[in-house]
Amino acid sequence: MLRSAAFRIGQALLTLWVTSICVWALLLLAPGDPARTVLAARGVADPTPALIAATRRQLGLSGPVVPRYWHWLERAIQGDFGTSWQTGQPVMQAFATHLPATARLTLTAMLIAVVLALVLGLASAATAGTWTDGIIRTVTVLMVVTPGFLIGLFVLDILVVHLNLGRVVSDGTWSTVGWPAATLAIGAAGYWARVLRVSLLEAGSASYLLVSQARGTSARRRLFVHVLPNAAAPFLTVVGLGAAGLLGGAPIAETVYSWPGVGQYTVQAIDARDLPVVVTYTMLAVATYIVASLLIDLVLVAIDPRLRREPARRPRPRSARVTA
Amino acid sequence: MTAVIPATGGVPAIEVARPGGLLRTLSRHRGFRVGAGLAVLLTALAVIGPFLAHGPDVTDYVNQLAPPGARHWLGTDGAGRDEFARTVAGARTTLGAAVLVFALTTVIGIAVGTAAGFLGGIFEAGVSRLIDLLLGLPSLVLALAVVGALGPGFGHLILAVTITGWAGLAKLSRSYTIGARQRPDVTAARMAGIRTSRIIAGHVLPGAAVQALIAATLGLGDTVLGLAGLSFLGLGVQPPAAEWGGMLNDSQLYDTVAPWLVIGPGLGIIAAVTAATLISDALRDSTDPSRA
Repeated sequence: MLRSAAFRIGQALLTLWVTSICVWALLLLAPGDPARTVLAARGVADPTPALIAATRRQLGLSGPVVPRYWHWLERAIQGDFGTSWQTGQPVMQAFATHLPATARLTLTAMLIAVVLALVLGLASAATAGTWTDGIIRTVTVLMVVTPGFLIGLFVLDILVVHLNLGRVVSDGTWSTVGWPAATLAIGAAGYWARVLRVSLLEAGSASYLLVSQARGTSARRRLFVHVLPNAAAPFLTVVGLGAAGLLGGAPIAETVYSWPGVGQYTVQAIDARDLPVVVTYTMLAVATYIVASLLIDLVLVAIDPRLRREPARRPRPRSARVTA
Repeated sequence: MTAVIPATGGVPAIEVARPGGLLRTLSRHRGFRVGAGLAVLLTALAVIGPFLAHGPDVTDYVNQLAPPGARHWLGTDGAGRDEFARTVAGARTTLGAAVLVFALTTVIGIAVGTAAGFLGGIFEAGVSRLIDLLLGLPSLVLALAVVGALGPGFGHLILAVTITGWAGLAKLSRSYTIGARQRPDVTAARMAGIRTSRIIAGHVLPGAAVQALIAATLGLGDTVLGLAGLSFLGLGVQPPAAEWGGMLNDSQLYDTVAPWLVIGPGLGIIAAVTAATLISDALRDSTDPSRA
């Protein structure tokens, strides 16, 4: 158990490190001279070549690639993701002001999505084959196929502007998070409910349940002891990864509602080709995702003894090459 | 020159015994019928688009932001362009992009996966690590990062979605190829002295292709959503070209005066993703033996 946990943690760290190389390499694709952009943002209209060279050194834009990467990594681990090319200010400073709004949005969205998915998924599986199930399945398909920005536009255009059913204020606080969070949650909730329904039906069709029933166990015992734990694994996996994935959906939901979070900030930075911001956002989202999948792995190992064996080595093909 | 065992045509994949049989099963699936109907409708719309009265870029300055009516079925946008014509033109762009991504990811996935499965060694190990890395990361975030680094643009968007989309298909093709190498017909072909390239083409690729195509169809809905979402953020097609995500982005400017601008592209996206979802559900039901 401990060994396999250590193995998984090591694997996650390795993934994170390799990803950081790929993501950092995006900085090399920068158009033009970032040093000039930064100087212009700081109000230096006509910089001298010496000043440009000094700024390049300060931004870590000169010298061989490999030491530059290590330098960046060293500072990134300490929470310093460099300087925004657009504003000339530290990227982390801007993120610190935008992160709380995004955290509120994604946490609320996750809560809404989990509750909706549990209600729809359980109700759908409990009534499998009836018209209630049919309606729920249709609704969940609609939830999956309707993109968040469309829901957001509908809410803003129809409900708020034309029917006057309330106000949307996007100030990033808890009291106004409802609409944006619901918008972000709907797609995830529909998908999770579909997964939950299928895994409940699959776990419920196991033949040992028939044996168990023949031996006189109660329906409640079969549900709580056998069906739910077995159906939990796929559901937990998609919920955990999906919750981290909500951070990937945040740019769209935040842009529709002008929610002042990191997603909207990053989209604006993309327009301005402010690559350090893009890199920081990507690293944060990826790190969240990797940590989430690590946690799910560990939870699944904890609830499913079958996963507790040593991680199996991949079987090697017997011959390395097919010779003609 | 003359092979003992005819390598062309190959042995059909075990999983999908007869493609004709799969089609027959699918045609009896209610969800598949609805999805296929929607897909045919959208394709027809995209094809007949250029023959419609209004062009997508023709501006009617007298009728800016006109509500839906007999002259402009879905109204006009802020530049007086016919919204129906733009929706139809958007179908070409959005669906064309999705089909392009579908084709690119499938070809890359099959090629890389089959090569890795057959060559083995360092190449296979490296490719497998890369695949696992890509599959372990959130694809929308990666696509956003790639577009962010390259800059907004339709080509960059397609590149970004392709880069993040091929890995799953390659993994599938790789494991299929490794399995196929142990099959009796492949062993027999090797003993008969048939060239590796012909063995791959005749015995491995057909089955790998069927599997990868099915798997790629399962991801088609997500592809359309991803493309439209990133275009909505202004990272895809640049104006004045018509594209559903971009049109929805434009509609935000007029949300108080012209809410009908959402109808065309909104229904288009929903119809396209619904078609993809229903078809992929039907495919999953018909090809997964555990659900038969």
